[in-house]
Amino acid sequence: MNLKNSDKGKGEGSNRRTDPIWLERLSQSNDFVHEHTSFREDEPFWISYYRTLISSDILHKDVLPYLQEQIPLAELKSRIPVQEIILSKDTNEIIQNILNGHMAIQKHQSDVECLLINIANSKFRDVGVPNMESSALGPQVGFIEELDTNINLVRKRLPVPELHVKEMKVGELSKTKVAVLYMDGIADPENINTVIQRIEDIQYDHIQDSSYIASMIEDNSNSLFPQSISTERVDRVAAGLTEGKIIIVADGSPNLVILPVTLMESFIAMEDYSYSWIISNFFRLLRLAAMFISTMISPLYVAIMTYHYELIPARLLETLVGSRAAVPFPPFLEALFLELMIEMVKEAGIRLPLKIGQSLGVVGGIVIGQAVVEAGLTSNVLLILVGLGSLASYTSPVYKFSNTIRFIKFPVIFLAQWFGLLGVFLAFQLTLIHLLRLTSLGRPYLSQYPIRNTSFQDLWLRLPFSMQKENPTTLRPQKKWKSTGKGKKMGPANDFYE
Amino acid sequence: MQANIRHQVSPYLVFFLIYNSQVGVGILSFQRTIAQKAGYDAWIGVLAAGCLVQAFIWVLYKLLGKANGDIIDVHTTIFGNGLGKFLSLFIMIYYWLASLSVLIGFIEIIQVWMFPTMPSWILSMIILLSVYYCVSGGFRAVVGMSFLSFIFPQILLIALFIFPLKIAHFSNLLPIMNHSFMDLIDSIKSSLYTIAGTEALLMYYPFIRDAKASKKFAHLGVLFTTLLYTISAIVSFTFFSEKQLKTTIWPELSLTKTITLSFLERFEYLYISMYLIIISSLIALFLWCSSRGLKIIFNRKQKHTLILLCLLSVIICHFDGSFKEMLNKYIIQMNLWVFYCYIPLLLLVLTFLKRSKQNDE
Repeated sequence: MNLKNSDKGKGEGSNRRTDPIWLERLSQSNDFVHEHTSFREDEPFWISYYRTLISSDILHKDVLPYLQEQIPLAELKSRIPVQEIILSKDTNEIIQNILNGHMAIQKHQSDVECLLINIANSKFRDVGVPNMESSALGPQVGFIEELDTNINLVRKRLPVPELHVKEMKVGELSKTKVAVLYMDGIADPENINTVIQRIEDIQYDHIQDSSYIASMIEDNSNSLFPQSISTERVDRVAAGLTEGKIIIVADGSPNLVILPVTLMESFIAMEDYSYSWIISNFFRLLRLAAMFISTMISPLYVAIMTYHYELIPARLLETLVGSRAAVPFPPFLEALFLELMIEMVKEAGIRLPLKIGQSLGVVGGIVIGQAVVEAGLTSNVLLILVGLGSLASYTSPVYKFSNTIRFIKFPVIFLAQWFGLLGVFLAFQLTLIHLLRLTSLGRPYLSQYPIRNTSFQDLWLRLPFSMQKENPTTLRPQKKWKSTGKGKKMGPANDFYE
Repeated sequence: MQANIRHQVSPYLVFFLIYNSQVGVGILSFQRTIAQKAGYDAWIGVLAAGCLVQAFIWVLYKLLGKANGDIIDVHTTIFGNGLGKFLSLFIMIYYWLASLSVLIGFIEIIQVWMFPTMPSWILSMIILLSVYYCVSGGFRAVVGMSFLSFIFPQILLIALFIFPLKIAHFSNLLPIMNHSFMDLIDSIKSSLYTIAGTEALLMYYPFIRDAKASKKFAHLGVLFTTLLYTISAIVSFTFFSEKQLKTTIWPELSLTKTITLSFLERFEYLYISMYLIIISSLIALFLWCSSRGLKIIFNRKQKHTLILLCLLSVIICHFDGSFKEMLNKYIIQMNLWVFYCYIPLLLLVLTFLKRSKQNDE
């Protein structure tokens, strides 16, 4: 194919053509290509595109062979075997589409009208295992950075027409494609409208991740607690949709946002549904206990060792005091120091490249910890407690929530230093009040209050599937039953198999 | 005047509201006061007082059901706008004083048992700050705290009754009814104040969805607290001798010392700290009532009235001296006269008014 670069002719006084506005604006960049399909000036078709955005494969195989004959653009549109072709005169639309990987075909260089053909190069990583939310059982599929693939993954799991997708563009500069997914006839229309309205109201230059949107539309942005769940697990999203939740997908983000959520959902792993209900109940309670341990254990140590050592029986107190005997700091400084150190190790572990991170974890966790104890800067007991607490903070299946737990213990340590046990309970109380006031899309965030029957079925507990029959009422779903066998027990009735 | 449906709560939550409004610092020390004259028979007085409160609840529901609003509506329908609001003001002051007496009582306990040198104003400030945070979240948050303050500490409260039973002398209670009728009346009188608090219903009634259906929950709530108090009295009576009981200021807290586990003893520290949640939700409820009442009476923002009441409480806590005894004495009198004499009279007047209005038509 002979291509002649038109730039040579540009700038010469003899060239009296007036280029359309879009062409002038786009040709400022060096990676913009504006070419002629033939050497002869009267021959048809000027093509323009961003070299960096398009797939030259599609361009050469599917588009250029059809540009040999001189035919009108409308006829060309029906010939070229590419899915997305638009005939347009709208300057904005043309610019927008070219920027998204379309190529423009003009009859003459001065024509505003052109044919826009989508030949975008969409190279993304393959769909893979979810990195942050791994599980032993259950589907090992995680979302990727491309919107269409993500929606495709969800649609495969819910092949029903009720799954609606509303697409929007958000961001003055980034023009990020954002899609809102919901099940029509299950999700509460009020929730859907609220989400769409709030996304439309966003005025911000760029959206780099779905978390941007999540924190822009959440009810209380001053809260430590995430009022939505960001997940990369397909099963979590699909399960949420069937219960009447609303999903936000942003192009370029492997995390999908689930709304509205309650506090307890941060303790639910999708793996829970793969085990016997008894075992998964145990794990759910374990995660809840782990949260309490993680946030309360070092404040309790500070409170008890500073003010209320009488609480500990004499035998146990000997061990505690013995381990602290050589430590020159008050318990408060000791705990604060150790907690900060552990948090630093964790933070460095996340930031460092994978290969260094592992060895650093060993250095930080074991070597420094051991050395600190031997040097007599902290007590063994506290090292055990802090280590336990920091492990426990990662039991929550929702990553954002485990960060909340990581942070929340620091103010509690201060309160424990000032008011002892009273301070610990004060912190507990303030957290409870805060959670009571918190809402997610206007629905109460603390699922313990008000009590709903459905919360026993699958929120605080996970009952067997035969007993999980209703969708959670906190979401105000329009479809009440999950299971069609409403009153009847599924499976064989237990009559001792006469 | 009904509240907006968005702010209303389910009828069953009245159970927790009633429980929350009745259980305060009183339960830690009432065993001594009721046993002053009636001795070991005083638990009968608690049960009798519980029955009286049940009757009082019935009166409240009749009164508020007729007026279909709160106490201010009742007053304005009977006495007109000016006088009605003036009378309501007294009730609001009562609510505030009740919350104040609870606050002062709790601060005294903290200072005696945990932090002898901590100034009152700091303690009152941290409690009232969390109360303010709760009340400013609206009635929903207040009810939520009532609910949670029932759920969380309940385990400890009930566990507490099991440990002392191992060394209980049930023969202490025998013979039953060996005190005079007047002694029993005295124990009823002092129990009445301990289990007072149901009068908060006068303010939050419009916030209950389907208020008529909530009546049975209110009665259940009173039944529960009455039983709780009775059991608590019986446990203390079987544990302490009559002379011991006279010199023990907080029998319930002394009881907690009997609990020993292999990793924890001296439970009173834990118990008092946990009591913070119960006390705060009680104060939050009363201050919510009071500040809402003042808001309607003076046509101000509830935020402002609430801040005013909190500040006054902090100042009074700081300068309290002999104030506490005086306060308690007045509140007991006020509670008796206003809620057990005045409110039933109000019901009679309102009934006659409505009847005569119907006759006129």
